[in-house]
Amino acid sequence: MADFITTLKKQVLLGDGAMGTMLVEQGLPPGENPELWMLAHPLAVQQVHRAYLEAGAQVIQTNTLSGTELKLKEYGAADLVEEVNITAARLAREVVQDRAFVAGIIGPTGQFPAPLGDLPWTELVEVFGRQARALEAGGVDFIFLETFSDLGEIRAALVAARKYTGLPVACSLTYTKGRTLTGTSPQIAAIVLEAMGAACIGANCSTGAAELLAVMKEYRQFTRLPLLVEPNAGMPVLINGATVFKETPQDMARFTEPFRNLGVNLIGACCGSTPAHIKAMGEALSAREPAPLPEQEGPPATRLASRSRAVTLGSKELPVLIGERINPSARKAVAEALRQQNWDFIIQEGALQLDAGALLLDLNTGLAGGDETRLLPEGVRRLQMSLDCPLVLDCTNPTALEKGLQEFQGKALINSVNGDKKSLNSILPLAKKYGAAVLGLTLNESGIPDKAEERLDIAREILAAAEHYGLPREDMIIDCLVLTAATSPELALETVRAITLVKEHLGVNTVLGLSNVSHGLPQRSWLNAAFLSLALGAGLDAAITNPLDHRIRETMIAGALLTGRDSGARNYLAQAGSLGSPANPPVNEDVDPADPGPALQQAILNGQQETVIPLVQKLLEKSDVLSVINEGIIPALEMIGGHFARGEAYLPQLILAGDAAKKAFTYLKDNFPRQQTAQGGTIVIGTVKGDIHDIGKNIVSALLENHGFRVIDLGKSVPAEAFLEAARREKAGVVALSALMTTTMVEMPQVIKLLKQELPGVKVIVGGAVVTAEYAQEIGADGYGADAVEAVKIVRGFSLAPGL
Amino acid sequence: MNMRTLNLPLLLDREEIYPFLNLGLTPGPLPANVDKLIDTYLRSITQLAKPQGLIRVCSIRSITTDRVVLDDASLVIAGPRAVAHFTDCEKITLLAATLGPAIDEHLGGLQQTAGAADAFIFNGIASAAAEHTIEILDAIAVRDIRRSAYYPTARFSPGYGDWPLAHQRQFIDSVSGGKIGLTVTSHHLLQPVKSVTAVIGWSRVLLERSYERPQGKPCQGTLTCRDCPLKEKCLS
Repeated sequence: MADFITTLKKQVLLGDGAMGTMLVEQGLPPGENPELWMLAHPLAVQQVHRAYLEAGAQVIQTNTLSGTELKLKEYGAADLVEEVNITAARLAREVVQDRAFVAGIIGPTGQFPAPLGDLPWTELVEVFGRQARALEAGGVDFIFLETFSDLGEIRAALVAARKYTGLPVACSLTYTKGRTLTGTSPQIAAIVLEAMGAACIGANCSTGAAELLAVMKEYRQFTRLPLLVEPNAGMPVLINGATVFKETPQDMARFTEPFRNLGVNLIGACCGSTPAHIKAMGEALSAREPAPLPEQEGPPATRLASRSRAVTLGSKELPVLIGERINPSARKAVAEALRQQNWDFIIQEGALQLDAGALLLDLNTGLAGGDETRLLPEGVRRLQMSLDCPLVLDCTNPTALEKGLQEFQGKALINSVNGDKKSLNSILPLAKKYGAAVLGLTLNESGIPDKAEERLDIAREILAAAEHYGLPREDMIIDCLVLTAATSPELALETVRAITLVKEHLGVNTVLGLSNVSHGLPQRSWLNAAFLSLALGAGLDAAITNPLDHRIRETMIAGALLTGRDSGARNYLAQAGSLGSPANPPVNEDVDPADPGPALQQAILNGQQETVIPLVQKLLEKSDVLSVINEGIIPALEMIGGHFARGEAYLPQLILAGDAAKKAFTYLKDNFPRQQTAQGGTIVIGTVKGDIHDIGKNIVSALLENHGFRVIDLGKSVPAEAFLEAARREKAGVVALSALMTTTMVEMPQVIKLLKQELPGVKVIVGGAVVTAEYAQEIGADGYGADAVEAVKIVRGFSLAPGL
Repeated sequence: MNMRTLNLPLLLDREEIYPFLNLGLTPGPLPANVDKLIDTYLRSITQLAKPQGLIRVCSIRSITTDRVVLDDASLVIAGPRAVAHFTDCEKITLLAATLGPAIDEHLGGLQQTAGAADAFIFNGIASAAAEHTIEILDAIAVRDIRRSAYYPTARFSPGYGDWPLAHQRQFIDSVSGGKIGLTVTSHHLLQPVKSVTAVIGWSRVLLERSYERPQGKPCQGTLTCRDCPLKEKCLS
């Protein structure tokens, strides 16, 4: 029989459908493991295979979805891995002979590898390897990894299948709302799994064909591999007491042509489907020729990925900043943190660089006297749990690097190889095995050549070696290397020329360890930025540098526009906007000096905290304190309160306006202590005993204060006696009680009872997430505030003595 | 004991956050200052949170009209309305998720040093993150349930329906909550605050897994609206 992948590239193949539901029809009892049941009922399983074959299926799947030792162990049958998988493969082969391909199915273990779970990734590789070997021994044509929902787990299965068998491997994940359970999109899966050597990728199970159509569209954008799809027949529903998968054979058949047109070459079905579905799907295919792949435009881009974020390097992309600061050789603080295992510091360093615009982080754990084989994988584990970006593993020790690559659940960039054969032969196979891109330095045993042409020659040798190891050209990035201008200023332009030559002659992407140029010189930022500008002009695609240097960031943004990489200046304008104008615009210079009141009101309405004090000051030149409050602040608060009540403003806007008003009040209180700013009376407020939630209470408190009330905030979990004592001491007119939980709101009647008994004149209002108007009435409260605005309205309705 | 501890990813979309900030589902363009605060605190929560979860599967020892008793666990699902969700079940999955203590600490600091808007937005995003975390645990549990040829019930938590919140302590004991730093206050509230517990039943009968999420509300997605303590306000 022809090779599976060769056939798949030439024609659209029809897969089979559900196994589990078919076995139930054959008598599989509920709760029984289908794989173990098969050992006693081989003919039943063969009956299912036969039914699908007769329906037209050209790929028949073994009954081994739960055939790993971890799944079989749940049934006390871990020692039956070989028996189950070899038997299943033989049963399928006996039925199909050479009339169809046999797919050796491997499914997820139900465990998650580190860092999500506690199962070591390397152990998982061995678990999958054992099953893959048995399936190959049973005679399957390819290994089919299906129904996976975690990228880390399917990576382990893929590495295992490639390591322990000589068979092609198809990879399929399940998606809900366009992502897997642990957050991987089809884009990321395509980038990572293709780089690791998957022969075919796709999706199965999920919620049905309609959702998977969108998933396959996304796959096609990011890979040229053959695609596969096997959707569920919808989700199960209960109809007249019976479980029904709602999508009929005709429903599913409608999707086969759209799938074929997207370049999906293996089309089957999953849960709830039957041979009737497969037959209808086969009949709906108008042709078996695969749809042509879309034309590739321009040189291929280099794609890197973390579990959930992709970064693309290429001539048509914005140049990429790679954060260089996690490097113990360059920074003592990092060395100390690594020595102390202070990973929080390292994560913080990473976070700062990402915040500053880096898209990739270089991780160097080469600490003098440290154990890189331990530090690098640990660093990878820590960073990828906290930060969502692809990593650049800056390491030339193959043992440490392999451990780091195993831990990184994405597609990393290796930093680096050079023209030295030893470097190439030790690192490139690791890149191939774990699906990483590689940064190639244009130096060799003789050092860094002076001339650009000689650096180009080394780059050529690196690319030839990469090709030899099967690495695609787009996964090689060349660093033409720059020396410090302190000793070799004349060579800086030679580096720029080398970048030009590499781009022209080799067409690959380029990167530069930028900061070397300024080593040993003062004002390094000047040199770094100037050199970056020259390099961008030559076609540089990425720079390893310090993203916290604003000059570098600005040069990157401006350089991208000037080198034609920023279409429509979109990035430039967006960045210029966010860097140049804060969320709160500065004070309008056109404020009418004769009447700054409207401007103050507008500033409060917009929550422009930085502008209210200058406006209050302007207003005070013409008015007294009370006028500022009554004609500037209060009307603005009433306006925003009205907007909020009518649904014309959001709650965060209301609170921001409150914060801005509070700034104005605080200024007035601090600068005019003798003037009376609190005019509305005194209110004691707090969250009742046992309740530790106080966000809502704080909002009410702030808004009351802004409306001129004197607010005594007792905080959270306040006992009844404390409310009484404060109300008595402060001569409060109102006590406001808040509770978020049903278990704590029962404290409210206790407080009310005590207050009514001891201070009968005091009004009590209540509010909080679970409190209702009915409850407020039931417990004898004088008012109920559904939200902060209403609370203010109620309190203003009481006639209170002015605050102290 | 069939128990798993998981470190969970936090990949929060803005759309998941909006309902927790009273912004509805698709609020359209937001004022620049609101937008910036959301960006800032989404980033800081992503960095500060250490989302972890516990999953434990227990067999059911007995079911009466008002109690579901589990094997080898002190937790009891109590209350006739709560028990009604699990009458067809053979097992129960216990879920506990937390964002870790750094979120509470940071929120405490913000309340001292920043404006109410900062605290409100940070708190709302953190609540959305906690909900996102329990959703991932839910999906993992549901996947396992379905693959074992059972149907999952809707998620249900102590404090909802007529299941007293006082059972929270038994819950935390039953999942060894201390492993991920979970404790319970004397008023049965979880600490850290941004934590969630819930159970899902394993049924042989297909059940409506109904989450009546009111549009644009900060729904905890734990059960049908009928049993939710917030229903009167939420649906009004």
